[in-house]
Amino acid sequence: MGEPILQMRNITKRFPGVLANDHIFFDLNRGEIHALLGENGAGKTTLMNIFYGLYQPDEGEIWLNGRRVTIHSPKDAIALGIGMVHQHFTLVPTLSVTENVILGAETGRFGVLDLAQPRQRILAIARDYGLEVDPDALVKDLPVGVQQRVEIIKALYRNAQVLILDEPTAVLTPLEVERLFETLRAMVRRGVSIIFISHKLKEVMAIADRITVLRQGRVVGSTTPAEADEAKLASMMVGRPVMLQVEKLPAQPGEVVLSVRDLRVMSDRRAVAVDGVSFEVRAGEIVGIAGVEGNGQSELVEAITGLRAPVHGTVMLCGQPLPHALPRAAIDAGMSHIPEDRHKYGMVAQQPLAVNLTLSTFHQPPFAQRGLLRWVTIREHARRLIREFDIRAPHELVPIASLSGGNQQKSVVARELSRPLKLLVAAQPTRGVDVGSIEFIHKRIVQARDAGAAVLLVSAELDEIMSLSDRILVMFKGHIVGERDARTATREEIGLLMMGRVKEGAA
Amino acid sequence: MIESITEVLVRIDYLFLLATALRASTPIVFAALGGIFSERSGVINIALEGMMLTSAYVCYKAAVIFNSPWLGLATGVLSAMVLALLHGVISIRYRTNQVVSGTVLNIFAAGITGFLFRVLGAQESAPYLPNMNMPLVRDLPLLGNQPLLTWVMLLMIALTTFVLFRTRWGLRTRAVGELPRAADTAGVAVNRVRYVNVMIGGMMAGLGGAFFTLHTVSSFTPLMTSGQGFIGLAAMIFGNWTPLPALLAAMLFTVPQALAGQFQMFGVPLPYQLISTLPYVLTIITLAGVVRRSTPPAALGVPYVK
Amino acid sequence: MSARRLFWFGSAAPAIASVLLALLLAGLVMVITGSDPIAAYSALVQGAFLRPGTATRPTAFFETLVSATPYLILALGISLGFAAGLFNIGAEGQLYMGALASVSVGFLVKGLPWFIHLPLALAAGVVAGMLWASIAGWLKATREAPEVVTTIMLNYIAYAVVNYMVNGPLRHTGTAPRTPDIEPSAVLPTLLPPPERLHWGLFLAIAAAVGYYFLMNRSTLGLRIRLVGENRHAARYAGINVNQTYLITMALSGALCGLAGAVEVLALYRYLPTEFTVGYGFDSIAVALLGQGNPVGIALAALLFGAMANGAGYMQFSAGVSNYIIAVVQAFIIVFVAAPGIARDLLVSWWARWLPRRAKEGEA
Repeated sequence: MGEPILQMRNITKRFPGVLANDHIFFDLNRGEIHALLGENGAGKTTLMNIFYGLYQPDEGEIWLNGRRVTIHSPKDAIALGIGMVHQHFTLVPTLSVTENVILGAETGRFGVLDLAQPRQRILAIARDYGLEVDPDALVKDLPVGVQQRVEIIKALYRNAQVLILDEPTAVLTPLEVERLFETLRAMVRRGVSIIFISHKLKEVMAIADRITVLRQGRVVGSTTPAEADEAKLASMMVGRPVMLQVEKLPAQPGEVVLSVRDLRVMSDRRAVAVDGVSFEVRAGEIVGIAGVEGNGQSELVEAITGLRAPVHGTVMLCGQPLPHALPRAAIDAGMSHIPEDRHKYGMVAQQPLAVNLTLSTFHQPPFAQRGLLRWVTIREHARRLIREFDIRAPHELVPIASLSGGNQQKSVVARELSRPLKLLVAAQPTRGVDVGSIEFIHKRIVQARDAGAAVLLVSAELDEIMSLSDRILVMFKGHIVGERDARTATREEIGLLMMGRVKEGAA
Repeated sequence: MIESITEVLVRIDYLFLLATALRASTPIVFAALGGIFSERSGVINIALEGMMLTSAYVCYKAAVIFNSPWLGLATGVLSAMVLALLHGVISIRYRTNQVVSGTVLNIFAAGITGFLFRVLGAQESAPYLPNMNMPLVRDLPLLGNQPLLTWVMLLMIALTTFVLFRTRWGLRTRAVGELPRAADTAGVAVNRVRYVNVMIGGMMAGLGGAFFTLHTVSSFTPLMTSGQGFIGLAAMIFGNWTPLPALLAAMLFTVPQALAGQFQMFGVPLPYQLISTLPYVLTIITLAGVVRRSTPPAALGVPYVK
Repeated sequence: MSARRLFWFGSAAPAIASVLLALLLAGLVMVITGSDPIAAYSALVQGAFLRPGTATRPTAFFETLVSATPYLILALGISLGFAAGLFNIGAEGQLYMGALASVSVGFLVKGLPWFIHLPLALAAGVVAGMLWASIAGWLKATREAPEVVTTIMLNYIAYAVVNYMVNGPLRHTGTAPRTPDIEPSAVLPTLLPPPERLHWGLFLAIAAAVGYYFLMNRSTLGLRIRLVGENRHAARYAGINVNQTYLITMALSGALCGLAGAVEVLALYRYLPTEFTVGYGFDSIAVALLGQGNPVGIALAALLFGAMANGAGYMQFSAGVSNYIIAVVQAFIIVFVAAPGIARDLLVSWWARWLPRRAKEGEA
């Protein structure tokens, strides 16, 4: 601890229509862990991307080790001893761990690759910091937790003195988080200084020496874990007291709506992603599927909604088996789907909001008759949903791409809930969305349940699963490894199941 | 008829047939190699056909003007690289859909070469590049007495394989084509890598174009590349974006035609117009068979935006 | 409403700028090669629009419409593919197959009244183009074979098939390799007495453009095609059968290209030569790109290309500039249309260089 290694002064960054960073001051002392806290869209990642040379600030200065620096590119940042572990990993899946680590910092004569020496160094770094990894494995074969270790090794291999971690715990189980924290402490002992970006209060309280809170592009304040508590941090972050719990009455499960039997699904990489999964969801209950991302949840959802053909097993809706890989059949049978990747599946970016709000129904009455579109009805319908779901849009004919992430997601939710539905499949329904929209979407999902729909919720956010679900299933390596009643389940218990530590008998 | 076919099959010189097919594969493989460099870095290159055509014309004209096949070759390759640079500017800098850019450049090349051909004419015949007919070399099976560019093509297969999988440049190229963000955050200048690879692709197409006017015939006719650039792309896909299998794929397209040629030589009546469609039909069949099993670079066709 | 007008202007501006810039650059090429671009372009306008007809020579403007007709039909077909994200580079081959089928019905079927024979011959062309394109569509839908490559391959096969038929089974008894003339009952008639060649194909083309507009803007199928073209994952998610849409779009695209071939041979040639339109299919890709998916834009682009094709001869005759300069103009046009940024940056940098100089001149 001691003198500041980094000072960011008066940083301002504008994007078209957004002031992402508004005169931000931020400093980091040698050997400290300084947390940057804020909700989605607060400007944390923008600030760090500026520091890492991915963006140029419109105003402001960066001082490193007492010298003013300009960082034009990641190359400059790396040369200055800055490393960054991005929220979305920057590892090439088809390359080996060693190749990924040396990329951009290759050694060898005449441009011919030398892999042997780097391999030894990687093993040494892995030993020193407890970052166990096989240097010859292909990245695509590694679980996310291990991939994160590779990212950290990448930074250390380049002798990073300042390490930025952007939402590093999003992909980890509670135990893996503990292990990451130990690694971070080991790094601090060796003189590395760390910026820890997160929107998770508990973790920030546990690991940080100092905490700076960002809201809407501005620094709201700085504090330390000793001085603050979670409630205080939360209201700093959001600007008002936050309801940390979703209000809902106990579920009243009815008939079985969704019945999944012995489902087996392959991934894009032709590996078994879902292996013999069976479960049921009843009308009027929310079943949450917890699990670290990449354990087969996406493939499971795609198989249920008809986007991917399972190799074995059946999906039944209200007693009727659904044909494989036919989204139309699922939609017509009363299934709604909030997809996890909004940009890929949920919307057609350049099409008007009105079209996006009738994406799966435009071909049928009342929106069309005898193959001809009825634009008046389509637009009326859109205007109604805009009002009802509080979508902030100038009018219904703007391209949906021009809306904010939260409003895009609300549009998807509006479309999916505006059809008569028997089953709602909600995959990561609040990813990348501001707190206000999160609360709104949660409320709507509970309403749909209370109106008698069955809800299957898939989320990587354990808090979301815990607060929204009536029943929790945990998925690990393609299997359902446990089922718990949400009222009695604990975070620790679910966390262990997420790592595949099955201690059945508690249920 | 059956009898005569079996008789012909017995009498065919298969080594000669393979040699013919290898020679015919030369421009296809060059196009495939050009495609591999470009597409491994993430840039779809439909314009290889146009680059070959441009190079074929410029090689011819420059060889006539300088009275040197070597200067012709150099100028022609350069012209293809200029076209490749244009493809880079349109699709990397201005982020136009890469298939649109490629299509446009193909039409561009056809228009410009057609114009120049008509305005400047093509009466004189150009000096040839040599065949590999030196003593010793001449008698090598399969390789003896082949056109110089066929040897260059085989050399380039080895070189491309080495560069792609054993060098720093290759590692960066593959990273840029799979996940450009990873390369960027590791300090690699993504678009520079793409520009250079697209231009190397242009160089390969340029060599392929030279084969038409400096080896096969010594004059230029409009649209003479007749789809070989596209067949090269099919060979690239068949070879899963690796060089040696691309050669095998190219042989798959050329061997049957060489065989049909032998049949005709022995007097088996085959309508030549329909025989000439063999490579095209085989290309379609191959694509129908292999595309679903191939794995293109993940970032193929996606412009890199920070 | 005003937003809509802005949209139209917004998409038209780069197209117009591209054309002007391309004409400017081609003019530069003429200067370099020692010709007078002003004389050339005025001759081009004369030859395309202004020259009146004589007893032996058709009116220039009507001939321009004759040239624009196949461009319009083909470009509509290609644009339809673009809308679904398909690159139908096989328009040329589909046109050939359409022409082959139409002519075959035109001379092989005898003794029918014109109101049956003519529609039958047209339909044969449409169906042939449709089927030929459907090969690529089917391979795309079921085998994921890239249509960019398969349609090109199908072009070469179509050339060879036509060549084979005209030289072999369908060859007439004369010296030149071509088919016999079609029956008079299969001829698509002209609108005016000779030497004018303006024919009913123009109205078929206009009808196709109107149909295109309704399909794309008013029908569920059109919206479906556009959704698949813009984001096929989301389209599939929304219950649209993407592969079926590819197949339908490709078939419709090929049908239009086949129609273009039918119209050309039934109205103008009235028999099938070995090579009759080399390049129409490719030029029409340029027309489609220039028209930017808008039927009015496509029609104007087709008119422009028709004018250039038609006026080029007179330009060569009266200004001594090779008519192939048109290919250069077209080449530049599509480069600028494909990357509007290039045109913009060029103009801006010229403007920036010109402005200060002008300001200085003003001071002096």
